[in-house]
Amino acid sequence: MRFALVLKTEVQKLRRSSAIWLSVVFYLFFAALGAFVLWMLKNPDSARSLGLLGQKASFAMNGLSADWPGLFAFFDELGIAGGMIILSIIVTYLYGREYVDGTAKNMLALPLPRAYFAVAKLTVAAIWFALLSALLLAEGLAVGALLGLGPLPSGLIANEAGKTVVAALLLLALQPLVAWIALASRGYLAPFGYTIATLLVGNLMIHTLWARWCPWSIIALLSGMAGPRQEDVVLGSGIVMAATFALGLVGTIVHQARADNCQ
Amino acid sequence: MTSAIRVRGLSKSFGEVKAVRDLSLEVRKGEIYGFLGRNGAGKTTTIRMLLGLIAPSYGEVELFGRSVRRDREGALAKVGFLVEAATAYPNLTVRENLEIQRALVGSSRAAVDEVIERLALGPYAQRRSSRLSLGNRQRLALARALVGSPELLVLDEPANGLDPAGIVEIRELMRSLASSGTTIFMSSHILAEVDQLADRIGIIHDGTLIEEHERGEAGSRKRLRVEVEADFPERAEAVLRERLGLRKIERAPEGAIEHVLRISDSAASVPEIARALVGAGVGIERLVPVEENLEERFMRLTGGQR
Repeated sequence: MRFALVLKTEVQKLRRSSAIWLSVVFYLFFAALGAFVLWMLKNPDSARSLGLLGQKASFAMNGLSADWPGLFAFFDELGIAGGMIILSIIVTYLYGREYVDGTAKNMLALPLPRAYFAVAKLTVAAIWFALLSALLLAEGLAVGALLGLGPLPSGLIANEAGKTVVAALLLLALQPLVAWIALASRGYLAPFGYTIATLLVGNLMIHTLWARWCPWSIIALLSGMAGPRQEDVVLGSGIVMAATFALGLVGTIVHQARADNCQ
Repeated sequence: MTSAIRVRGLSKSFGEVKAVRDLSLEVRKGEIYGFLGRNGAGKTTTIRMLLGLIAPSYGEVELFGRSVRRDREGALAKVGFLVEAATAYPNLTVRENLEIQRALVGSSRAAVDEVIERLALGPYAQRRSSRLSLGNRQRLALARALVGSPELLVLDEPANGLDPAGIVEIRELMRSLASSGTTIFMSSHILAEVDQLADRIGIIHDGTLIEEHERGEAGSRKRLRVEVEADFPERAEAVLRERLGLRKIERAPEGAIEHVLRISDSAASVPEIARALVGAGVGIERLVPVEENLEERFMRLTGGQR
Protein backbone atom coordinates (compact mmCIF):
# COMPACT_ATOMS: atom_id res chain seq x y z
CA MET A 1 0.00 0.00 0.00
CA ARG A 2 2.73 2.44 1.01
CA PHE A 3 4.82 1.35 -1.99
CA ALA A 4 1.88 2.09 -4.28
CA LEU A 5 1.72 5.55 -2.74
CA VAL A 6 5.41 6.16 -3.35
CA LEU A 7 5.04 4.86 -6.92
CA LYS A 8 2.14 7.22 -7.50
CA THR A 9 4.12 10.22 -6.27
CA GLU A 10 7.08 9.20 -8.43
CA VAL A 11 4.74 9.37 -11.43
CA GLN A 12 3.36 12.73 -10.23
CA LYS A 13 6.88 14.14 -10.04
CA LEU A 14 7.07 13.82 -13.84
CA ARG A 15 4.18 16.16 -14.48
CA ARG A 16 5.16 18.77 -17.09
CA SER A 17 8.64 17.27 -17.26
CA SER A 18 10.32 18.09 -20.55
CA ALA A 19 12.24 14.79 -20.32
CA ILE A 20 9.08 12.88 -21.28
CA TRP A 21 8.55 14.94 -24.42
CA LEU A 22 12.21 14.71 -25.33
CA SER A 23 12.07 10.92 -25.18
CA VAL A 24 8.94 10.94 -27.38
CA VAL A 25 10.70 13.25 -29.86
CA PHE A 26 13.62 10.78 -30.00
CA TYR A 27 11.24 7.94 -30.76
CA LEU A 28 9.46 9.98 -33.43
CA PHE A 29 12.86 10.63 -34.93
CA PHE A 30 13.52 6.87 -34.94
CA ALA A 31 10.28 6.38 -36.85
CA ALA A 32 11.18 9.11 -39.33
CA LEU A 33 14.58 7.50 -39.83
CA GLY A 34 12.96 4.09 -40.34
CA ALA A 35 10.46 5.55 -42.78
CA PHE A 36 13.24 7.26 -44.73
CA VAL A 37 15.34 4.09 -44.99
CA LEU A 38 12.35 1.95 -45.99
CA TRP A 39 11.26 4.55 -48.55
CA MET A 40 14.71 4.41 -50.16
CA LEU A 41 14.65 0.65 -50.11
CA LYS A 42 11.25 0.69 -51.79
CA ASN A 43 12.28 3.40 -54.28
CA PRO A 44 15.92 2.64 -55.18
CA ASP A 45 15.87 4.93 -58.24
CA SER A 46 14.85 7.93 -56.19
CA ALA A 47 17.44 6.91 -53.57
CA ARG A 48 20.18 6.81 -56.17
CA SER A 49 19.21 10.27 -57.36
CA LEU A 50 20.10 11.49 -53.84
CA GLY A 51 23.75 10.73 -54.62
CA LEU A 52 26.05 10.05 -51.70
CA LEU A 53 23.25 9.87 -49.18
CA GLY A 54 21.63 7.24 -51.35
CA GLN A 55 24.87 5.25 -51.43
CA LYS A 56 25.19 5.33 -47.64
CA ALA A 57 21.57 4.43 -47.15
CA SER A 58 21.80 1.43 -49.41
CA PHE A 59 24.90 0.36 -47.45
CA ALA A 60 22.92 0.57 -44.23
CA MET A 61 20.13 -1.42 -45.80
CA ASN A 62 22.24 -4.48 -46.42
CA GLY A 63 20.17 -7.56 -45.76
CA LEU A 64 16.92 -5.62 -45.40
CA SER A 65 13.91 -5.96 -47.63
CA ALA A 66 11.15 -3.47 -48.39
CA ASP A 67 8.44 -5.49 -46.70
CA TRP A 68 6.94 -5.88 -43.23
CA PRO A 69 9.62 -8.25 -41.85
CA GLY A 70 12.34 -5.97 -43.24
CA LEU A 71 10.72 -2.91 -41.68
CA PHE A 72 10.42 -4.52 -38.27
CA ALA A 73 13.96 -5.90 -38.40
CA PHE A 74 15.16 -2.34 -38.90
CA PHE A 75 12.87 -1.00 -36.15
CA ASP A 76 14.09 -3.73 -33.79
CA GLU A 77 17.65 -2.55 -34.25
CA LEU A 78 16.60 1.05 -33.70
CA GLY A 79 14.66 0.04 -30.60
CA ILE A 80 17.59 -1.79 -29.05
CA ALA A 81 20.44 0.56 -29.97
CA GLY A 82 18.37 3.67 -29.27
CA GLY A 83 16.66 2.09 -26.30
CA MET A 84 19.95 1.29 -24.64
CA ILE A 85 20.81 5.00 -24.66
CA ILE A 86 17.33 6.41 -24.04
CA LEU A 87 16.54 4.05 -21.15
CA SER A 88 19.86 4.88 -19.49
CA ILE A 89 19.06 8.58 -19.88
CA ILE A 90 15.61 8.02 -18.34
CA VAL A 91 17.09 6.15 -15.36
CA THR A 92 19.83 8.75 -14.95
CA TYR A 93 17.22 11.49 -14.98
CA LEU A 94 14.90 9.80 -12.48
CA TYR A 95 17.63 9.12 -9.92
CA GLY A 96 19.95 12.03 -10.61
CA ARG A 97 17.34 14.80 -10.69
CA GLU A 98 16.69 14.48 -6.94
CA TYR A 99 20.30 15.56 -6.39
CA VAL A 100 20.44 18.09 -9.22
CA ASP A 101 17.19 19.73 -7.99
CA GLY A 102 18.28 19.41 -4.35
CA THR A 103 15.18 17.42 -3.38
CA ALA A 104 16.96 14.19 -2.38
CA LYS A 105 17.24 15.30 1.25
CA ASN A 106 13.49 16.01 1.37
CA MET A 107 12.76 12.53 0.05
CA LEU A 108 15.26 10.62 2.17
CA ALA A 109 14.23 12.12 5.50
CA LEU A 110 10.63 10.98 5.07
CA PRO A 111 9.36 8.29 7.43
CA LEU A 112 9.17 5.74 4.62
CA PRO A 113 11.53 2.92 3.63
CA ARG A 114 14.11 4.38 1.26
CA ALA A 115 14.11 1.16 -0.75
CA TYR A 116 10.58 2.08 -1.85
CA PHE A 117 11.90 5.17 -3.64
CA ALA A 118 14.71 3.22 -5.30
CA VAL A 119 12.38 0.50 -6.57
CA ALA A 120 9.58 2.93 -7.47
CA LYS A 121 11.91 4.95 -9.71
CA LEU A 122 13.00 1.79 -11.49
CA THR A 123 9.35 0.81 -11.93
CA VAL A 124 8.59 4.25 -13.40
CA ALA A 125 11.52 3.82 -15.80
CA ALA A 126 10.13 0.42 -16.83
CA ILE A 127 6.64 1.86 -17.44
CA TRP A 128 8.07 4.83 -19.33
CA PHE A 129 10.22 2.57 -21.51
CA ALA A 130 7.36 0.13 -22.10
CA LEU A 131 5.24 3.02 -23.41
CA LEU A 132 8.08 4.17 -25.67
CA SER A 133 8.53 0.63 -26.96
CA ALA A 134 4.80 0.41 -27.67
CA LEU A 135 5.06 3.75 -29.44
CA LEU A 136 7.87 2.42 -31.63
CA LEU A 137 5.79 -0.64 -32.50
CA ALA A 138 2.84 1.60 -33.41
CA GLU A 139 5.16 3.85 -35.42
CA GLY A 140 6.39 0.77 -37.32
CA LEU A 141 2.82 -0.15 -38.22
CA ALA A 142 2.07 3.44 -39.28
CA VAL A 143 5.23 3.68 -41.42
CA GLY A 144 4.46 0.34 -43.08
CA ALA A 145 0.93 1.45 -43.84
CA LEU A 146 2.11 4.81 -45.18
CA LEU A 147 4.68 3.14 -47.44
CA GLY A 148 2.04 0.72 -48.70
CA LEU A 149 3.81 -2.48 -47.65
CA GLY A 150 0.62 -4.44 -48.14
CA PRO A 151 -1.25 -6.71 -45.75
CA LEU A 152 0.44 -7.66 -42.50
CA PRO A 153 1.67 -11.27 -42.43
CA SER A 154 -0.26 -13.23 -39.81
CA GLY A 155 1.45 -13.53 -36.47
CA LEU A 156 3.94 -10.75 -37.23
CA ILE A 157 2.55 -8.34 -34.65
CA ALA A 158 2.50 -10.99 -31.90
CA ASN A 159 6.04 -11.98 -32.85
CA GLU A 160 7.23 -8.35 -32.81
CA ALA A 161 5.48 -7.64 -29.52
CA GLY A 162 7.20 -10.67 -27.99
CA LYS A 163 10.62 -9.55 -29.28
CA THR A 164 9.97 -6.03 -27.99
CA VAL A 165 9.12 -7.33 -24.51
CA VAL A 166 12.23 -9.53 -24.36
CA ALA A 167 14.46 -6.71 -25.58
CA ALA A 168 12.92 -4.28 -23.08
CA LEU A 169 13.45 -6.74 -20.21
CA LEU A 170 17.08 -7.28 -21.20
CA LEU A 171 17.67 -3.54 -21.44
CA LEU A 172 15.98 -3.05 -18.06
CA ALA A 173 18.28 -5.62 -16.49
CA LEU A 174 21.21 -3.29 -17.21
CA GLN A 175 19.62 -0.23 -15.63
CA PRO A 176 20.01 -0.72 -11.86
CA LEU A 177 23.77 -0.28 -12.31
CA VAL A 178 23.09 3.06 -14.01
CA ALA A 179 20.81 4.00 -11.09
CA TRP A 180 23.47 3.06 -8.56
CA ILE A 181 26.05 5.23 -10.32
CA ALA A 182 23.58 8.14 -10.51
CA LEU A 183 22.99 7.86 -6.74
CA ALA A 184 26.63 7.44 -5.85
CA SER A 185 27.73 10.36 -8.04
CA ARG A 186 24.63 12.46 -7.17
CA GLY A 187 24.10 13.72 -10.68
CA TYR A 188 23.93 13.06 -14.38
CA LEU A 189 27.49 13.10 -15.65
CA ALA A 190 28.90 9.84 -14.26
CA PRO A 191 25.96 7.66 -15.37
CA PHE A 192 26.11 9.25 -18.85
CA GLY A 193 29.81 8.45 -19.01
CA TYR A 194 29.12 4.93 -17.78
CA THR A 195 26.46 4.39 -20.47
CA ILE A 196 28.80 5.49 -23.23
CA ALA A 197 31.56 3.28 -21.82
CA THR A 198 29.25 0.24 -21.74
CA LEU A 199 28.19 0.88 -25.35
CA LEU A 200 31.83 0.87 -26.37
CA VAL A 201 32.61 -2.25 -24.33
CA GLY A 202 29.54 -4.00 -25.75
CA ASN A 203 30.56 -3.11 -29.30
CA LEU A 204 34.10 -4.31 -28.78
CA MET A 205 33.13 -7.54 -27.04
CA ILE A 206 30.64 -8.45 -29.75
CA HIS A 207 33.57 -9.30 -32.01
CA THR A 208 34.84 -11.90 -29.56
CA LEU A 209 33.53 -15.21 -28.28
CA TRP A 210 33.25 -13.64 -24.84
CA ALA A 211 30.27 -11.64 -26.05
CA ARG A 212 27.97 -14.28 -24.55
CA TRP A 213 29.34 -13.38 -21.08
CA CYS A 214 29.25 -9.63 -21.52
CA PRO A 215 25.91 -8.11 -20.42
CA TRP A 216 26.22 -5.24 -22.89
CA SER A 217 26.80 -7.61 -25.83
CA ILE A 218 24.23 -10.29 -25.01
CA ILE A 219 21.35 -8.05 -26.14
CA ALA A 220 23.02 -7.48 -29.51
CA LEU A 221 23.55 -11.24 -29.89
CA LEU A 222 19.95 -12.06 -29.02
CA SER A 223 18.38 -9.32 -31.12
CA GLY A 224 20.31 -10.19 -34.25
CA MET A 225 22.08 -6.83 -34.29
CA ALA A 226 25.34 -8.76 -34.37
CA GLY A 227 24.15 -10.91 -37.23
CA PRO A 228 22.61 -14.36 -36.97
CA ARG A 229 24.42 -15.30 -33.76
CA GLN A 230 21.50 -16.08 -31.45
CA GLU A 231 22.94 -19.56 -30.91
CA ASP A 232 26.00 -17.95 -29.21
CA VAL A 233 23.75 -17.09 -26.29
CA VAL A 234 23.86 -19.82 -23.65
CA LEU A 235 22.14 -20.39 -20.33
CA GLY A 236 25.09 -18.72 -18.66
CA SER A 237 24.28 -15.54 -20.61
CA GLY A 238 20.88 -15.44 -18.93
CA ILE A 239 22.54 -15.92 -15.55
CA VAL A 240 24.93 -13.06 -16.33
CA MET A 241 21.99 -10.77 -17.16
CA ALA A 242 20.12 -11.80 -14.00
CA ALA A 243 23.25 -11.30 -11.88
CA THR A 244 23.84 -7.86 -13.45
CA PHE A 245 20.29 -6.87 -12.59
CA ALA A 246 20.51 -8.26 -9.04
CA LEU A 247 23.87 -6.63 -8.34
CA GLY A 248 22.66 -3.26 -9.56
CA LEU A 249 19.38 -3.47 -7.67
CA VAL A 250 20.98 -4.49 -4.37
CA GLY A 251 23.66 -1.81 -4.80
CA THR A 252 21.05 0.86 -5.53
CA ILE A 253 18.85 -0.09 -2.58
CA VAL A 254 21.72 -0.42 -0.11
CA HIS A 255 23.26 2.85 -1.27
CA GLN A 256 19.94 4.68 -1.00
CA ALA A 257 19.33 3.24 2.45
CA ARG A 258 22.75 3.61 4.02
CA ALA A 259 24.94 6.19 2.31
CA ASP A 260 25.44 9.57 3.92
CA ASN A 261 23.38 12.20 2.18
CA CYS A 262 25.43 15.36 2.41
CA GLN A 263 23.74 16.95 -0.59
CA MET B 1 8.66 12.91 30.43
CA THR B 2 10.11 11.89 27.05
CA SER B 3 12.14 14.59 25.35
CA ALA B 4 11.41 15.60 21.79
CA ILE B 5 15.11 15.36 20.95
CA ARG B 6 17.76 13.54 22.92
CA VAL B 7 21.29 13.45 21.58
CA ARG B 8 24.08 11.62 23.38
CA GLY B 9 27.77 11.62 22.54
CA LEU B 10 27.15 12.44 18.89
CA SER B 11 30.24 12.57 16.71
CA LYS B 12 30.79 12.62 12.98
CA SER B 13 34.03 12.52 11.05
CA PHE B 14 34.52 12.92 7.33
CA GLY B 15 37.94 11.41 6.83
CA GLU B 16 40.31 13.48 8.91
CA VAL B 17 37.76 16.23 9.49
CA LYS B 18 35.83 15.98 12.74
CA ALA B 19 32.61 17.82 11.95
CA VAL B 20 30.82 17.10 15.24
CA ARG B 21 32.49 16.03 18.49
CA ASP B 22 30.78 14.32 21.38
CA LEU B 23 27.66 16.48 21.21
CA SER B 24 24.92 15.90 23.77
CA LEU B 25 21.75 17.92 24.10
CA GLU B 26 18.14 17.55 25.00
CA VAL B 27 15.15 19.49 23.70
CA ARG B 28 11.99 19.37 25.77
CA LYS B 29 8.58 18.98 24.17
CA GLY B 30 7.01 22.32 23.22
CA GLU B 31 10.33 24.14 23.46
CA ILE B 32 11.94 26.39 20.84
CA TYR B 33 15.63 25.56 20.73
CA GLY B 34 17.97 27.91 18.89
CA PHE B 35 21.06 26.20 17.54
CA LEU B 36 23.80 28.66 16.67
CA GLY B 37 27.20 28.36 15.13
CA ARG B 38 29.44 29.82 12.49
CA ASN B 39 29.63 28.42 8.97
CA GLY B 40 31.26 25.01 9.21
CA ALA B 41 30.71 24.76 12.97
CA GLY B 42 28.73 21.52 12.59
CA LYS B 43 25.11 22.80 12.66
CA THR B 44 23.94 21.28 9.40
CA THR B 45 25.83 18.02 10.01
CA THR B 46 24.06 17.77 13.38
CA ILE B 47 20.69 18.50 11.76
CA ARG B 48 21.34 15.87 9.10
CA MET B 49 22.13 13.34 11.82
CA LEU B 50 18.92 14.27 13.64
CA LEU B 51 17.01 13.45 10.46
CA GLY B 52 18.92 10.27 9.69
CA LEU B 53 20.40 11.73 6.51
CA ILE B 54 23.89 11.08 7.84
CA ALA B 55 24.90 8.19 10.06
CA PRO B 56 26.82 9.31 13.17
CA SER B 57 30.34 7.96 13.64
CA TYR B 58 29.47 7.61 17.33
CA GLY B 59 26.56 8.45 19.54
CA GLU B 60 22.84 8.23 19.44
CA VAL B 61 19.90 10.41 18.39
CA GLU B 62 16.44 9.80 19.78
CA LEU B 63 13.32 11.64 18.64
CA PHE B 64 10.38 11.19 20.99
CA GLY B 65 12.22 8.29 22.61
CA ARG B 66 12.82 6.43 19.33
CA SER B 67 16.30 5.84 18.01
CA VAL B 68 16.90 7.29 14.55
CA ARG B 69 19.46 4.56 13.86
CA ARG B 70 17.33 1.60 14.93
CA ASP B 71 13.84 2.88 14.09
CA ARG B 72 14.28 5.67 11.53
CA GLU B 73 10.72 5.60 10.25
CA GLY B 74 9.19 5.58 13.73
CA ALA B 75 11.51 8.35 14.93
CA LEU B 76 10.76 10.60 11.94
CA ALA B 77 7.01 9.96 11.88
CA LYS B 78 6.16 13.20 13.68
CA VAL B 79 8.91 15.38 12.24
CA GLY B 80 8.73 18.21 9.72
CA PHE B 81 11.97 19.63 8.43
CA LEU B 82 13.74 22.16 6.28
CA VAL B 83 17.39 21.41 5.64
CA GLU B 84 19.64 24.07 4.16
CA ALA B 85 18.45 25.46 0.82
CA ALA B 86 14.69 25.50 0.19
CA THR B 87 14.22 23.09 -2.68
CA ALA B 88 11.20 21.75 -4.55
CA TYR B 89 10.41 19.96 -7.80
CA PRO B 90 10.83 22.82 -10.30
CA ASN B 91 8.36 21.49 -12.86
CA LEU B 92 5.55 21.24 -10.31
CA THR B 93 3.38 24.01 -8.92
CA VAL B 94 3.35 25.02 -5.26
CA ARG B 95 0.17 23.01 -4.72
CA GLU B 96 1.49 19.95 -6.56
CA ASN B 97 4.69 19.97 -4.51
CA LEU B 98 2.65 20.11 -1.34
CA GLU B 99 0.26 17.41 -2.58
CA ILE B 100 3.19 15.04 -3.04
CA GLN B 101 4.41 15.74 0.48
CA ARG B 102 0.89 15.36 1.87
CA ALA B 103 0.49 11.97 0.20
CA LEU B 104 3.85 10.75 1.48
CA VAL B 105 3.28 11.80 5.09
CA GLY B 106 -0.34 10.64 5.07
CA SER B 107 -2.07 13.94 5.85
CA SER B 108 -5.60 14.89 4.95
CA ARG B 109 -6.32 16.81 1.73
CA ALA B 110 -7.34 19.84 3.77
CA ALA B 111 -3.78 20.05 5.13
CA VAL B 112 -2.51 21.47 1.84
CA ASP B 113 -5.07 24.31 1.81
CA GLU B 114 -4.30 24.99 5.44
CA VAL B 115 -0.53 25.41 4.96
CA ILE B 116 -1.01 27.42 1.77
CA GLU B 117 -3.13 29.85 3.76
CA ARG B 118 -0.85 29.81 6.77
CA LEU B 119 2.24 30.64 4.72
CA ALA B 120 0.38 33.19 2.54
CA LEU B 121 1.08 31.16 -0.60
CA GLY B 122 -2.45 31.48 -2.00
CA PRO B 123 -1.52 33.80 -4.91
CA TYR B 124 1.28 31.43 -5.94
CA ALA B 125 -0.49 28.08 -5.47
CA GLN B 126 -0.69 27.41 -9.21
CA ARG B 127 2.76 28.76 -9.98
CA ARG B 128 5.63 26.42 -10.76
CA SER B 129 8.18 26.39 -7.98
CA SER B 130 10.96 27.25 -10.45
CA ARG B 131 9.23 30.61 -10.98
CA LEU B 132 9.03 31.57 -7.31
CA SER B 133 11.15 34.22 -5.68
CA LEU B 134 13.70 33.08 -3.09
CA GLY B 135 11.42 34.22 -0.28
CA ASN B 136 8.39 32.36 -1.63
CA ARG B 137 10.49 29.26 -2.23
CA GLN B 138 11.40 29.46 1.44
CA ARG B 139 7.71 29.74 2.33
CA LEU B 140 7.02 26.68 0.20
CA ALA B 141 9.75 24.76 2.01
CA LEU B 142 8.25 25.79 5.36
CA ALA B 143 4.79 24.80 4.13
CA ARG B 144 6.18 21.41 3.12
CA ALA B 145 7.64 21.02 6.60
CA LEU B 146 4.26 21.83 8.16
CA VAL B 147 1.96 19.82 5.89
CA GLY B 148 2.08 16.72 8.07
CA SER B 149 1.16 18.68 11.24
CA PRO B 150 4.46 17.65 12.83
CA GLU B 151 5.09 17.57 16.57
CA LEU B 152 8.72 18.45 15.98
CA LEU B 153 10.03 20.93 13.43
CA VAL B 154 13.71 20.83 12.54
CA LEU B 155 14.53 24.00 10.65
CA ASP B 156 17.87 24.97 9.19
CA GLU B 157 17.88 28.72 8.52
CA PRO B 158 14.08 29.13 8.30
CA ALA B 159 14.28 32.88 7.64
CA ASN B 160 16.66 32.50 4.72
CA GLY B 161 15.63 34.75 1.81
CA LEU B 162 12.67 36.30 3.60
CA ASP B 163 12.17 40.06 3.69
CA PRO B 164 11.78 41.78 7.09
CA ALA B 165 7.98 41.45 6.97
CA GLY B 166 8.36 37.78 6.10
CA ILE B 167 10.74 37.25 9.00
CA VAL B 168 8.20 38.77 11.39
CA GLU B 169 5.45 36.53 9.93
CA ILE B 170 7.58 33.41 10.36
CA ARG B 171 8.46 34.44 13.91
CA GLU B 172 4.77 34.79 14.73
CA LEU B 173 4.07 31.46 13.02
CA MET B 174 6.69 29.74 15.14
CA ARG B 175 5.39 31.30 18.30
CA SER B 176 1.91 30.13 17.43
CA LEU B 177 3.17 26.62 16.64
CA ALA B 178 5.14 26.48 19.88
CA SER B 179 2.13 27.68 21.87
CA SER B 180 0.12 24.81 20.41
CA GLY B 181 2.77 22.35 21.60
CA THR B 182 5.04 21.95 18.56
CA THR B 183 8.70 21.57 19.44
CA ILE B 184 11.01 23.62 17.25
CA PHE B 185 14.72 23.03 16.75
CA MET B 186 16.11 25.80 14.58
CA SER B 187 19.44 27.05 13.41
CA SER B 188 19.81 30.59 12.19
CA HIS B 189 22.36 33.22 11.39
CA ILE B 190 19.95 35.96 12.43
CA LEU B 191 20.95 36.05 16.09
CA ALA B 192 18.49 38.76 17.07
CA GLU B 193 15.73 36.56 15.70
CA VAL B 194 16.84 33.55 17.72
CA ASP B 195 17.23 35.73 20.78
CA GLN B 196 13.61 36.83 20.51
CA LEU B 197 12.22 33.43 19.71
CA ALA B 198 14.16 30.65 21.39
CA ASP B 199 13.44 29.36 24.88
CA ARG B 200 16.90 27.86 24.98
CA ILE B 201 20.00 28.47 22.94
CA GLY B 202 22.91 26.17 22.19
CA ILE B 203 26.11 27.39 20.58
CA ILE B 204 28.25 24.97 18.61
CA HIS B 205 31.82 25.81 17.66
CA ASP B 206 34.29 23.56 15.84
CA GLY B 207 31.87 20.68 16.25
CA THR B 208 31.53 21.06 20.04
CA LEU B 209 28.55 22.41 21.93
CA ILE B 210 30.30 25.12 23.89
CA GLU B 211 27.30 26.67 25.63
CA GLU B 212 23.66 26.14 26.34
CA HIS B 213 21.50 28.66 28.15
CA GLU B 214 17.86 29.52 28.75
CA ARG B 215 16.47 32.78 27.46
CA GLY B 216 16.90 35.44 30.14
CA GLU B 217 18.83 33.00 32.30
CA ALA B 218 20.39 34.93 35.23
CA GLY B 219 24.14 35.23 34.91
CA SER B 220 24.13 33.81 31.45
CA ARG B 221 25.15 37.06 29.87
CA LYS B 222 28.30 38.88 30.65
CA ARG B 223 28.01 42.45 31.84
CA LEU B 224 30.03 44.58 29.51
CA ARG B 225 30.05 47.93 31.29
CA VAL B 226 28.14 50.41 33.40
CA GLU B 227 27.01 53.60 31.72
CA VAL B 228 26.54 56.76 33.75
CA GLU B 229 24.99 59.93 32.41
CA ALA B 230 25.80 62.69 34.87
CA ASP B 231 25.43 66.49 34.93
CA PHE B 232 29.17 67.01 35.64
CA PRO B 233 31.00 64.18 33.90
CA GLU B 234 34.53 65.38 34.73
CA ARG B 235 33.68 65.56 38.42
CA ALA B 236 31.87 62.23 38.28
CA GLU B 237 34.93 60.59 36.72
CA ALA B 238 37.20 62.02 39.38
CA VAL B 239 34.91 60.79 42.17
CA LEU B 240 34.78 57.27 40.72
CA ARG B 241 38.54 57.12 40.30
CA GLU B 242 39.35 58.50 43.75
CA ARG B 243 36.62 57.04 45.92
CA LEU B 244 36.04 53.68 44.22
CA GLY B 245 39.45 53.20 42.62
CA LEU B 246 37.95 52.53 39.20
CA ARG B 247 40.41 52.74 36.33
CA LYS B 248 38.64 51.75 33.10
CA ILE B 249 36.52 54.81 32.56
CA GLU B 250 35.86 56.35 29.17
CA ARG B 251 34.34 59.77 28.87
CA ALA B 252 32.38 61.01 25.87
CA PRO B 253 34.57 63.39 23.85
CA GLU B 254 34.40 67.14 24.42
CA GLY B 255 31.32 68.61 22.71
CA ALA B 256 29.32 65.37 22.75
CA ILE B 257 25.61 65.79 23.39
CA GLU B 258 25.38 63.05 26.01
CA HIS B 259 27.58 63.29 29.08
CA VAL B 260 28.12 59.56 29.33
CA LEU B 261 30.82 57.74 31.25
CA ARG B 262 31.48 54.16 30.25
CA ILE B 263 32.93 52.13 33.11
CA SER B 264 34.27 48.73 32.14
CA ASP B 265 35.99 47.75 35.41
CA SER B 266 34.64 44.35 36.37
CA ALA B 267 34.60 45.52 40.03
CA ALA B 268 32.21 48.40 39.28
CA SER B 269 29.03 47.94 41.34
CA VAL B 270 25.96 49.93 40.38
CA PRO B 271 24.84 50.68 43.98
CA GLU B 272 28.36 51.77 44.98
CA ILE B 273 28.64 54.06 41.97
CA ALA B 274 25.25 55.57 42.77
CA ARG B 275 26.16 56.13 46.43
CA ALA B 276 29.55 57.66 45.60
CA LEU B 277 28.17 60.08 43.00
CA VAL B 278 25.18 61.18 45.07
CA GLY B 279 27.43 61.58 48.10
CA ALA B 280 29.69 63.87 46.08
CA GLY B 281 26.73 65.95 44.90
CA VAL B 282 26.85 64.75 41.27
CA GLY B 283 23.43 64.63 39.60
CA ILE B 284 22.69 61.29 37.88
CA GLU B 285 20.50 61.31 34.76
CA ARG B 286 20.99 57.63 33.99
CA LEU B 287 22.88 54.70 35.49
CA VAL B 288 22.63 51.45 33.55
CA PRO B 289 24.49 48.14 33.56
CA VAL B 290 24.94 47.11 29.91
CA GLU B 291 24.94 43.37 29.17
CA GLU B 292 26.22 41.84 26.00
CA ASN B 293 23.56 40.90 23.50
CA LEU B 294 23.44 37.46 21.92
CA GLU B 295 25.50 38.63 18.99
CA GLU B 296 28.28 39.96 21.20
CA ARG B 297 28.16 36.85 23.33
CA PHE B 298 28.24 34.63 20.24
CA MET B 299 31.22 36.49 18.86
CA ARG B 300 33.06 36.26 22.19
CA LEU B 301 32.44 32.52 22.55
CA THR B 302 33.28 31.64 18.99
CA GLY B 303 36.47 33.65 18.84
CA GLY B 304 35.43 37.02 17.46
CA GLN B 305 35.71 38.12 13.86
CA ARG B 306 37.70 36.01 11.43
